Formats: sequence, C-alpha cells, structure tokens
Amino acid sequence: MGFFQKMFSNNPRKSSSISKMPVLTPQPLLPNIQENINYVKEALFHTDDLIHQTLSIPGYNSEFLFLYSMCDQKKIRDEILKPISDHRHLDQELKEILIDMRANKHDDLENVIDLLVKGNAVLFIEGFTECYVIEVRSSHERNVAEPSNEKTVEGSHAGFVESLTINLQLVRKHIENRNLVVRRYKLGKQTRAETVLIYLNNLANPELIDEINERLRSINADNITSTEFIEEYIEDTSLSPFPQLLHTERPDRVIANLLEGRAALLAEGSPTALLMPVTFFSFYQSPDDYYFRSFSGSFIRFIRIVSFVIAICLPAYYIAVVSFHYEVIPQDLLLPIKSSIEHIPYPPILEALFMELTIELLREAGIRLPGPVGQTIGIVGGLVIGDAVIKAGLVSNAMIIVVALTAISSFVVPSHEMSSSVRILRFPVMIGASLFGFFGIVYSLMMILIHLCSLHSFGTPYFAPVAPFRLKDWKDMIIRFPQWKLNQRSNDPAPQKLSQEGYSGEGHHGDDQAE
Amino acid sequence: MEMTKQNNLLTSGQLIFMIIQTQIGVGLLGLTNQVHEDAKGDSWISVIVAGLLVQVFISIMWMLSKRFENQTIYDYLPKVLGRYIGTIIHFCYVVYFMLVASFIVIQFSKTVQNWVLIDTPRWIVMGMMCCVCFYLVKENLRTIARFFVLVFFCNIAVIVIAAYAYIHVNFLYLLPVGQEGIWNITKGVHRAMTSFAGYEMLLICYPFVGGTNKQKFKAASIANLFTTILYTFAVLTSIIVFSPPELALLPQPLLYMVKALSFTVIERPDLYFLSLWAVVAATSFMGYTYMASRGLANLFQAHSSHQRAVPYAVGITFTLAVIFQNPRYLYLYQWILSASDYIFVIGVPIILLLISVMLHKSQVKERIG
Amino acid sequence: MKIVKIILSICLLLLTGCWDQQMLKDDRLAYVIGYDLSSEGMIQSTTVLLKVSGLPADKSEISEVHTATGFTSRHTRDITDREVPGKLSASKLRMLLIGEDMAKQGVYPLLDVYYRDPKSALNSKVAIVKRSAHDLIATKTKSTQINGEFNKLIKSGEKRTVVPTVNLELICTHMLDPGEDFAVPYLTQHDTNPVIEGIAMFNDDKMMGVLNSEDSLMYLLMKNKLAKTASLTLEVDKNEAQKPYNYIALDFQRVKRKLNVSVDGYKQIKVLLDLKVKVTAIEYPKDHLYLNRTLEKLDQKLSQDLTHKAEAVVRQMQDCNHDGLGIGRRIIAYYPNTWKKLNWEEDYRNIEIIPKVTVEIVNHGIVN
Repeated sequence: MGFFQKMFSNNPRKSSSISKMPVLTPQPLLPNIQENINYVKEALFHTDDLIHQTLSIPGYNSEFLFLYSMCDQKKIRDEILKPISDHRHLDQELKEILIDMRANKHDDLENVIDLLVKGNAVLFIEGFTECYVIEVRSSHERNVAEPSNEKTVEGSHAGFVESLTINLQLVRKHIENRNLVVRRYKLGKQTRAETVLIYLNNLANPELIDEINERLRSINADNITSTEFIEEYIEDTSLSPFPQLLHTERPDRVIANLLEGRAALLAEGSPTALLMPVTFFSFYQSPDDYYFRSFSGSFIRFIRIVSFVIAICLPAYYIAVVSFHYEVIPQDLLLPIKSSIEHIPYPPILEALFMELTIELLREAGIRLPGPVGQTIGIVGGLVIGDAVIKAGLVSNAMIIVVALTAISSFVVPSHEMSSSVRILRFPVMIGASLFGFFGIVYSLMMILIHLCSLHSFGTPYFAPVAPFRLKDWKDMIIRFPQWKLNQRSNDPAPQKLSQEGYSGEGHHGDDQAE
Repeated sequence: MEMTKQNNLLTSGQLIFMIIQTQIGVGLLGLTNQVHEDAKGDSWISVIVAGLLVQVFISIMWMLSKRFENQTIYDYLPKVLGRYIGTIIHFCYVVYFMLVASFIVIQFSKTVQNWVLIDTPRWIVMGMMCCVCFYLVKENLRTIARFFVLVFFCNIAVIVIAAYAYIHVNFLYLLPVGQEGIWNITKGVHRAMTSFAGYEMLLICYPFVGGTNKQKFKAASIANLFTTILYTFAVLTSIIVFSPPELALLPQPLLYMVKALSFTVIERPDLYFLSLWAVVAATSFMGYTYMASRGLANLFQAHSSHQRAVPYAVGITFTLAVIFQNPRYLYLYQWILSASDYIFVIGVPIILLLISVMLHKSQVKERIG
Repeated sequence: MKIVKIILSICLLLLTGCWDQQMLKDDRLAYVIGYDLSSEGMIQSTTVLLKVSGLPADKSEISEVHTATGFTSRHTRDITDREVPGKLSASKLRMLLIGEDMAKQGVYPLLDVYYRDPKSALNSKVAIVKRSAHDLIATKTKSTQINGEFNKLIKSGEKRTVVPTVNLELICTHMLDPGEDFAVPYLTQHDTNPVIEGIAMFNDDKMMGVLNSEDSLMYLLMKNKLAKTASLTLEVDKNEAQKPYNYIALDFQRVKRKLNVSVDGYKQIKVLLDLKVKVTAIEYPKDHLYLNRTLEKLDQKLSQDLTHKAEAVVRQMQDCNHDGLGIGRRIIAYYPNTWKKLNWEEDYRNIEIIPKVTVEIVNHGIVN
C-alpha cells in the first residue's frame, strides 16, 4: 500500500497550508472616467470581449462597460438604454433614471471588475465618486426537466439545472422553514466557483456541519468547476471502490435527505447535488420507493439488494461451479450445462472476462453515441454478437445467461456511481473464484465486507444499519414500512432529534370505526 | 470524525458477538469426533457440562476484570504480580494466543485440504486466511466488532444447513443416557474445553466495552449460552444421524451428514457449509490475532494501539503455522494447547483474582502496587 | 521496488490457481457403475459415462460403456480411466449396481472408496442386480443411452413404497451398526429393461436374501416407512367365476406402528408389532362398499390376510438374520445389560416377533 500512499500522499487534510483566498487591496474609484476605463481594461488584460460605449445622458458625460460574452443584449437595451431614452425629453433627475436601471452603487474598482466578469455592466459618470453596476447577465437555463439518469415513475419530475439560484429555489420552495440554512463558499483559486452547503439547522448534527466546513475550507486547489470535483477532495476514503457521497439531480431526493438531517452541497454550473453523510443503502433507495405503496416499495428495494448480490457474485459463482465444484449442480441440470460448455475452448474465467468486457464496451459505446444510434448499437451488439459468439463456439450459452443477468442486475442500482463500483467489484471476486473456487469467493466477499465495515462517511459508519447493527433503522432500509410507522429518522446521520412523527396511524383505526 | 466519545466503546451487544465469534471456530466441525472418542453417546452431556464450567470461568474472569474496570489483563498483570513476573506472564499470554491462532490456521487448512482444495499447497490456504485476518485486525476494535456482528449470520446458516439432516435421524442412538459413566463424560468435558476457548476475550475487551459491569457479565453469559447451544446442537445432531461405529470413523461428522443431502436447486451442501464455516473459522482466528497483537503492542509500549503490532502478530502466527503443519507435531501441539488452555484461561485469572483480593489490589489503589 | 514486489505477488497469486481445478467441460462423468464378481475373485466394473451431445448434429444414441477388472473398486476405476478420454470422475454418480454374487460376499470393501473420497456422490442410489450387473447394463445400453433410467426406476419404486429410500450414505450407518440392518432395491432383467423385483436384505454388509415386491411393501409398512403411495392387490374371495371379482386393491393411506420390545429374564425377547393401517379401496368390482356389514367383513378379512403376510415376512427376515426393524438397537437403548449378554448374530433368529395388522377401509373412491 505504500506505493499508493506515496502516489496519493497529497491529502488535502494533511497538507499544512490551509488555503488563503487571495485578498485584493481595494482600489477606490479614480476621478477621471478614462482612467477608470483604462484601469479596468488593464485589469482584464485588454480582453477583446470588453465593450465600452458612451451613453448620452443629458448633462452628464458617461460611459459604460460590459463583457459582451456574458451579457444579454436585450437586457442592455431594456435596462440601460431604454430608461435613458424614456427620460430624454423630460427633465428628470439622474437619480430616478438610475433607479429605473436598478443600478447599484460601488466605489471599489477591484470589486467592480469582479462583478464585470460575472456579467454586469458598469456605468461610469464623470465627476462621480461612485460607479453604478447593473445586472445584465445573459442566462441560458435549461428547463427544470426530469434528469435522464434518475427517472422515476411517480412523483415530482423536476430536476436541478446549471443555475445555483434556480436550484436553491427548488429546494427552498419545498422546505419553507426558517431552519434551512445556506452557507456559501468560493472554491478554487482560479475558478472561484460558488458553492453552497445547505442543511436544516435544527436537524443536522453541528459536528457534521463543522466537519464539512473544515473539509471544504481546506481545499487548496486551483480548479473546482463542479460538485463532482469537490467530492474527491472531501470524501473520507478516496481509495475505495464505494462512493461515499450521493450524487443526485433530483430536488425531492435532496429535500428528503435534508429532512433526515443530512447536508447537501450545490455548486454554480452543476446540476448535481452531493448529499452527505450517506450509507451504503442510500444508494439503493430511490424516491420511487416512497411514492409507491409500502408493499411494492419494499419489494423493489429488496430486488435492488438482491441485484447487488447477483451482480457481484453470480459470475464468480458460475465460474467456481463449472471449474471447481461441479458436484453442486443438481443432477437434472448437469446435462444441459455440460453439453453447453463441452466444446468451449477457453476456461470459464476467460469466457467470463471476454463477455464482461464486451458488455462494458457496448455500454460505453451506447452512451457516447447519439440516442437512436446508441440503441442500435445495443441491439446489434447484444443480439448479433451474442448469437454469433455462441454459434462460433467461443462462449457457452450458460455463460451468456450469467453475464446478461449480471449486467442487468448491475444497472438496477438507482445510483450511477454505485452501479460502476459494482461492475468493478465483481472482477476480483471472479478472479478469486477462478483461483480457489468457493473459498476464493468467500475470501473476496469477506474482504469487501471488512472494507464496508471500516468505511466511514463523514464520521458515520458506511454500512449502517447492518454494521453496526441497528434493527430500528431496518424499517427504512431493505424494506420500507408505511410512512406512519417510520416514527424515527434513521440514525446514521446522527440528527439532533430522532423522532420525526408522533403516532400517526390513527387514520387506519378511524376507518374501521366509521363503518 | 468521532461524533462522541461514547462511540469509541463497543456496546455490550457487540461484546456478545466478539465472544461468540472467537469461541466458535474450527472446533465446530471437529468437536463431535473429539468428544465422542471418550463420551460416546453421552457426548452431548459432556458439551453441556463444559458449557456450564465455562460459565463458572467467565464469572471468575468477570470478577477479576471488574476490579480493574478500565484496564486489560496486560495492564494489570504487572501491577498484581510485580513487574518481572508480570511481564513474563504477559509474554506467555501473547505466545499462547499466537499458538492458538496458528493452531486454528493449521486445523482450518487441514480440513480444507481434506475436503476441497486437495492439491493446493497448505501455505496458500493459510496465507489467504492470514491476509484476510490482517486486513480486518489492522482496523480498530469497533470495526472488528461490527464485522463480527455482520458475519454472525453464518452461524445461523450453519445451523439451518445442519438441520436438514433431521430427515434421517434415529433418537435411539442417544439411549441409554449416561451409558458411558461419569469418568468418560468427564474426559469428554476435558476434550470439549478446547473448543470452548475464546471467552478469554473478556479479559482483553473488558475496558473497551461501554455499559455497566452487570451488562458485560450478561453479554458474556449470553455468548457462552449461544456457543453451548450451538455445540450441543452440533454434537446431538451428529449422534442421532450416525450410528456409533460410523461416527467413530468420521472426523467431521457435521460435514459428512450434509454431504449426501440433495435439493432441487443444489447438491452437496457440504461445500456451501465449508464456505460458511471458513468465515466462522476466520473470525475465531481474527479474535485471537487481535488479542495477541494487543498484547504484543502493550508489551513494548503500554496503552499503545494494537494496530501497529498486527503485521508482526500475523506474521509470527503464519510462520508458526507453516512450521508446525506436519501432522506429527499436531498431536503435541494439541496437547500443549489443551494444557496451557487451563493455565492461561483459568489458572492465571484465578491466581490474579486471589492475589488482588488478598492484597486488596484494584484499580483504585493501583498506585500502591 | 515496492511496485515490483506488488506485481510479483499478484503474478504469484494468479499463477497459484489450477491445482484443484476440475473443469466440468473436461471431465467425463460416470453416471452408472456396476460391480460384479469376476471368475477369479476379482472385481469387474462396468461404467456408463454420461452422454453429452455437445453439438446438435451429434446424435449417436448409444452411451459409452467401459468394463474393467481389478482387485478393488478403486483399481478398476483407475483401469477404466486409462480407457476414457478425459479424466474419469465419479462425483456425479447416480446409480451403483452390485451383482448378487458380489453382494453376498460383502459390500463394504467395495464402497470404502466412495466413503473415503471427499468428492464422491454419497446421494447415489444403490441396487443389487440378480445375476450380473454388467449384463443388465450392457443389454440396456445396446438399444438406448442411459442417463437417468435406473435412477428414475428406483425413485418411482420409492414413491410407491416398494423399495426403501436409501443411498450410499444411509446404508453406511446401518451397515456398521450392530443393532440394525439395511435393505436395498433388487433388480432383475425383463427383456432389455431393468425391473424392480423386490428388495435385497443385508446382514452387516452381506446380502442374505430377497423379498419380492409385495412382501417388500409389507416390510416397509412394518418399518413405518410409508411413502407417497402404496398399493396392494389382495385376494378376498375364491368363489366368483370371473376372476377379477375375487380381488380388492388397496391404497394405504396412513400407518400407525407400535413396536414393543420386552425382555423377560435371560434372552427371552418378545417383540410385539402392532400395525394399524387406514386404506382406500381403489379397485373392488364387487362393490357394496358403502354397507357397514361389507366393510366390517372386509376389514376383518384383510386384517387377517395382512397379518399372515407380515408373519411370513418376519419369518423370512429372521431366516436371513436381517434385523431390518432395528430391534437390536432398541435392546441396546432400553436393555443395555441384556444386550451385553447377547450374541445378536445368533440370537436374533430365536427372538419372538409377533406382528398384528388391523385394517380399516376409510375411503372407497367416488362410486359406492
């Protein structure tokens, strides 16, 4: 492990220099318009998208500056030019014009330059000690459409977009509660990405918030452009196949988790929210579970957990059986299996690796290609290659069934990161199986379980409520009890108060008596 | 980040599983044959008596640990016995735990070699076991306890598989009760004691468990109760499935009786049984390795973390196992272990208890010593 | 340096496999094995391999059969292995056939290899073949391929309570037990097909005699081993002109057995076997089963007949020294001191076993 430690020794929490944001000395406004403009131009290195125009406000010599790449021409017309032309003939106070423009006063040039870069227009007026900043940012926002990788059948179909404001609004709209706190961070020395941490002040454990705060502040990197980048800086164990922060693009998922006492991280320009702390089982839950009836919700969850086991163990089990312990095949199944693998030239491990590789290639090709073509590739690959490979006698029927079942199972997981982890994890188990049969499987599974037991996500045990065992939390883990039964929040984020509802099952008995 | 200080301690519930998993191990398969050699059809009585006896020893250990509530046996050994003798006994404990651990590995690899991996060199099977063990024991005690709780289901699965053997049983094999006489049953008790070993975990874990003394005693007793029930079940089932002359031929009757079962979906359940048992055996090994590495760490630096000693403990255990894997040494090995079992698990704690009671030594007055 | 070490250890790990690999695709599986006593006192084994048609075009119908003669069963397997392309494996064995002569000599030495080998299939069925196992297999394989034929035959016999449900493991425990003996199916040949003739009774590991299939049903009822169905046709009348009118067919519904072993003084062992059976009349052309009178008469008649049958079976068992009821085991359990004085091999013949069967017709189908 020393090798890896050396390679990854750049641990943000261990590094001594906690990042200091570059502190800019304030630069008061210069008396002359031209000097101001020159200063700004110098500061932006004469970038060519910086436009300066003269405004004809009667009685004033004024100029305004903006970055055309960041600004909406329509807004400039409506918000700056129109108020001026409206008031041209009337002898109105400049003040009122500025109010119409919704301009803000500023007197620090450095600050103004920052605002300029963000898509504001700056108005300099001769003889004034302040300049005026007008928000004319152009925004090209997607609709809050349902995220394509987290579809649900029922429930809200809203999804986060690339705008932080809209995302925050989506969350706040559902939690109209003064306890919802937004903490703002600027991450990345170059990118200065606006990142916010949101949590419910009366639920989230303060120690958790302190810890997150600490970890975010200790990020000492130049480029942070989206939440996914942040993940690797703040997660507990980067060298683990398991994701320790939950990605989601669904506001309802974020809301539900906030209400369990977790915290969410959102960033400007990224539609993905990071939820923390999470457990292994969070990745196997989907908002759908709660929208369905308790029985079907529980059933689906159970199926997902089974899918995890199948995705990791099935190919390994098959390999172990046909190359070590064929005694365990029941008598009636022996003949079909034996006749299907009788003339296969390769050992089962190679067969399996070959097929798994093919499926991974197909998957990757399918994602990269545009929609309809991707589907075609899937069909061509799945049907044609599958059929031809069997006919050519390279891979056995049984192996195709096993690999297909495994592939399907690994895509059942509602979370994309977990799905890829599962797909990676099955390879060591397969190799173990091909070396020592069942013992190989057992030992690799033990390794995985030990790893799961030792993992933490922001101080909470990752494999809760299984290890440490907490039966109360099973109510909302593999099975989902009816809502009125879920009297307590799950314990793993260590919320400030566990109880989330009083006795709410009254309705059921009321129905009985009403008859 | 630790949420609270309390979280550093095990719960008394976890203590139950720590002890169960350390107790139940390789003995599970071999116990019946061992006890049956002397006690024949009355083996189950021997096992129950052994369980009761262990309960007595657990009480003694508890009384001792209660006097030194916040210390492991390694910490108070020198205080009770003086520095030199204490250190020597401390060293002996470490050696003893390592010997037991390597014995577990040897037995495990032997059984695996006999049943499944016939041609695979023993050292590889041992090495795999040691690797997994190292991987867990290098974590902190809480993680170890969590893992032990998690794999507890293996014991249940073992019971379920073995329960299928009840399709063909003959309860007459149990009769007449007491056929072998008290002497043979006592000899059986002696043979069963080795399989019960593992409750000495109490001496080491005691300070790391939260809760009252009473709770801890209850936890240890529940653990022992479960082990006794499981062992009795295993022995009883083996006796009623096999006729006495056949049972004498079978070193692993539990495995043998599930070997012939067949179901619609699987056959040869013994292979699944062995795989689950591998986990059970591994946890037992991990338990001993933990005790050994904690001792080793304390030997060189008091109150230090056991984690740094783990590679050495596992390494030494592995080397011992490789050296003594020859069946010729195994008898001697077994003999030494069953003798030292009495010394370290029963003898030393009783002596410590007596001395500390007589000299009024306990944690409060520790400075005098 | 560390990287080199890691790569080396990974390579080492990857190279370690294969010691215990046994590929399903490479092994040849013995499905049926027959043992006979050959002329010079050697063992002749007949091995039928599982017929696998890997390619759809390959449609030869006949199973591969190998015969070998050797000193022990393991020896014959080694010899067979030399003939067989691919490794011969008996770990999926389904049927073990033993010739009568071999069985009379004792089967334990033959089966030891199966008990000792961790990979062996202990759930394989065992049967004794009248005359030669080799002939039975050879004639059958001439016409068709054998995959599960023998096994299915035995299994249906088990379901109809004709033969006891035994396998290699179950007979072992009784083979070694002094207080109980086992019995296994007994096959003969009819044309080219194997037929269940009855059961072969053993004492220790030696075959001592045969019960025909109707007696074996009685034997199993006395052992309280009623399987799914058990039907028996009995003569209840002699006077009807048309033969079928003389008979009744019974299906046993439930059996209640009481086995009482009592010892009076020295070696005076008395066994009371009380069987209460509830039956359905599944064939009785004479009808009138709805009348109480008819039923009572029939009940009585049948009880008598079956008691006679049981007595006959007991006599045969005692003649063969076959303690199938486990009476010895009961004496060990309840009268351990008496057991110590007994020489069971000798004394079993002389104990008194009194069977008594009481029949009650509880159902007579959907016609009156």
